[in-house]
Amino acid sequence: MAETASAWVLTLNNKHKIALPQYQTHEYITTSIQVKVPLAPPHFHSMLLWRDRMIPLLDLAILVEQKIFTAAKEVVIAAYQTKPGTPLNFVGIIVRDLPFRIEVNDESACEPPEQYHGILRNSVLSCFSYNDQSVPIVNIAYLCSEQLFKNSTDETNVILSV
Amino acid sequence: MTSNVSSIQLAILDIGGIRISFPRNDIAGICLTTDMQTELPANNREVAWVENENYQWPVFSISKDFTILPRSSDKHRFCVCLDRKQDKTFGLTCDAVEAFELKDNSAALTLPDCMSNPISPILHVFMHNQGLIFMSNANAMRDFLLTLETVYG
Repeated sequence: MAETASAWVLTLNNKHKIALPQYQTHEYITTSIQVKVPLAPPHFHSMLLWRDRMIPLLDLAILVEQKIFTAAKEVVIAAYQTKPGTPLNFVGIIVRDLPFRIEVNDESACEPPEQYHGILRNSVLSCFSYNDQSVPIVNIAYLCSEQLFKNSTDETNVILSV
Repeated sequence: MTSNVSSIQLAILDIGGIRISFPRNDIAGICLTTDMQTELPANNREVAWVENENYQWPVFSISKDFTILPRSSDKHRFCVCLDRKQDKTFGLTCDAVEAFELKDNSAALTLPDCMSNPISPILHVFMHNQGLIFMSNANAMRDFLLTLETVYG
């Protein structure tokens, strides 16, 4: 019998979903104070004020679709470590529907969506099929790394020019 | 008992809703934009000149996204002359200016790695009244404007 694991499914927009392991999914908030940061990468265009701290706000739909979306107030707070033993970092991920929890196993494994290429493809840890839709489990620590920004200049410029 | 907490005197500029602060020592003077001379040779990146302390300061205007504006916004009522250690640099237009004391300098944080941009003049940020104040200084803003001039000038 295949082993199962719990994951939270986040709706990025009407076409794309991602999943986070349960241990990384910290909180879901429906209203948030967001402050735009000039010259930040398009997919990290704002900071989120959350529990008396500032955390980066990630709009993954921008990376997936390569176009700018209207702001959304619903956010899932994800926690991650850059390496074992280091303090937790937090990031807000913009969602456009209620997150929900599911159980996944190896039998539902599949290929990532076609739109996932470049840095986005590199961030995919694994992928599973849910309701005939391919849902990637992404590496949040990788997506939040400085190195990613340095390596993604070309892709970011594409988005900036939209 | 002594405290390691030290305060920073700042001037906060409101530029189209974005609030960016400079050390008070970097501010040489504040003029009204109505006092600016806007007749300039063609192809200049500055929007005007302004006379302050017997010096003509080139004046730049930037948007809330930090792009150089071809002319000052109608909402920009003030021109702040930035002066780093007597090295007169430039003026920057803004909607409003306010003096502010950041009582605990440890409240100033760097942007997360994933949001930092090497050309950005934003050096630090701090939270104030449920909002963010960006921190820069005259040198960082001058370097940023020079970079934009190199790229687009």
